[in-house]
Amino acid sequence: MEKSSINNQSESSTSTSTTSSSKLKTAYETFLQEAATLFPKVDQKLLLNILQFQTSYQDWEGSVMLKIIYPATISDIDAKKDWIYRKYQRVSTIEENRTLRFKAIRMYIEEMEKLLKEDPTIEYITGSATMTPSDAYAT
Amino acid sequence: MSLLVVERNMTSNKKIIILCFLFKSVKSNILPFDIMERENNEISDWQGLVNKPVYSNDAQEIGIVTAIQPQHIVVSYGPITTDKYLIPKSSVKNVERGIIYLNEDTKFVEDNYRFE
Repeated sequence: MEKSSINNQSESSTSTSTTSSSKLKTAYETFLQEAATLFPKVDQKLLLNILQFQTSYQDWEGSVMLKIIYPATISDIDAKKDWIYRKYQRVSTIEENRTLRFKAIRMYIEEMEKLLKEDPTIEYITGSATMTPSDAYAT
Repeated sequence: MSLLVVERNMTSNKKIIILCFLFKSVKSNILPFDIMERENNEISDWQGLVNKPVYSNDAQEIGIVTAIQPQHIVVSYGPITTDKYLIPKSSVKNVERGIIYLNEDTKFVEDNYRFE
């Protein structure tokens, strides 16, 4: 009698946890789909890292090593470099004649959205967000 | 290995069970590639392409898929200073036995898709 009651309890707890985990998984998958729809030009890993840092730590300064990739057909990447300097006061390096790489601060998702709206020619944004300010040569 | 288990003195039932087991294991190894391949010109599982090799249409290896993004796949080549390629999903011609083939040749890929 006791044994069957324990079994029942364990079964019910397993089914509850399965329901909870599947609910959480579904919610997470929906969230990822939404992120991909809203920010299709942003590296999803970078986007989630920025989102995590900015929501978890109120004093996170938005330290991001940013790589902005333009189409290979871009004629004047130097003009884009100047534009980034005027906007963020950071000198970016040019890679493969189409990528601008620089260390940004206060790069929150709102700023990312603004950046993409201001320059629709951007093909893709990637990089890495860091918790603490790191040197400008970090990847 | 399992074939060695099939002996002469086995009953036919046992042989059938072993053959079923062999069929299942072979099928489960092939199936993941089937899922990734195009159905009506669409790849059903893009995430399944991560870690798979990418080849241009002139049979040169471009690299390994490291990430799937909404509009692109990211391909990396080399162990230390990796070359990275941002390849539009529309450039994927087909997936055959876990190998991704592109519509373009190596020169086009180097000139247009390399970003780092």
